[in-house]
Amino acid sequence: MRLSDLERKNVRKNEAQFNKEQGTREIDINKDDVVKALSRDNDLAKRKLDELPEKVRKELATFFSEKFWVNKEVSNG
Amino acid sequence: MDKKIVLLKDLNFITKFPVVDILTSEGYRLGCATTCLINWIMKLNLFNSDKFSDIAEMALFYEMELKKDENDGVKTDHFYWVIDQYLKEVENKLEYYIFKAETLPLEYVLFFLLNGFTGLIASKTANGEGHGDIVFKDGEKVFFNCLEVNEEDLAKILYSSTDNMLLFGRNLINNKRLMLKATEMGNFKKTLSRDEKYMLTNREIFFIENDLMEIFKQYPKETLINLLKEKEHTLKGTGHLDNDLIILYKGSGTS
Repeated sequence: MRLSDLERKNVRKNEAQFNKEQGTREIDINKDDVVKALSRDNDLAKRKLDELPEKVRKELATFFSEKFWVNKEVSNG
Repeated sequence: MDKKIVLLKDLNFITKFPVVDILTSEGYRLGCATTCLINWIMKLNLFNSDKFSDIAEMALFYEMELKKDENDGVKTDHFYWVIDQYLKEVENKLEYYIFKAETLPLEYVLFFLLNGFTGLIASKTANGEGHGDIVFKDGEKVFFNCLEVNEEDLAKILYSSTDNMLLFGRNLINNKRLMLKATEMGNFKKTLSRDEKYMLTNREIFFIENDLMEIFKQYPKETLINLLKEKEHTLKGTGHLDNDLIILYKGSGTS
């Protein structure tokens, strides 16, 4: 997702700095910006996270990085 | 992962996909729907050399196909139609599953990512516009285009709207299906009637129709590993197992 897409969705609007040399507008877009731009029905996301069984979470834990699991403590053992 | 903006003319087979943006030499940006589709196709290693001479030609073809409206956007229904046409072209090369966001449990998503599927997410956003991008697993990390995401980000993106379309695909040449292993273990494939479908949950329909029921519901992980180890030699000999892929997954609430 690029800056113009984000701005159309009212995220980071009018924040980009104009780089005269390159004739470009520059800003660091991060994951939170993208998530914010896409977010519409966060109840659904929360419900889906809650519905992920703990057993599955544990079983899949080792296949995903530790940083991936933020919602609940997951044992990699 | 690199945040790459590439020139259309520079796209080639050593370009690392996904790319964030594709620009023409005149500075015109291809749409997010086109970029998303090109990323997905290239990530799945499905470039069709019979149809296109290079990736740039393919990108321009889809840019034309995905005709933008006066607001520089692509209508969601039209995006779905183009994807549908594409899927018909590659039905023998691609294993894929399509879901409306609200019907897809997060555990399926993790299962898909774990097993080499690349997701194409067609999102509907709050102001009625859309966005297309891909999600995939690289090593132990999960990425939404070039951004590494955690489970919460992933859920917020996938389930940003109940109407999002989620398409997960993997190249059948590179990935043998679990179904073959399930069949090897005495499973069966069943086509469900309309009445039977009515009685079942989406989850059950998905598993039964894809021959995954037995393996998910009746084989605990350790048993499954042992079974696969026992059969590994045979499966490799018959071409049913072409690498060390072992699918470790068990449905919830079963033992």
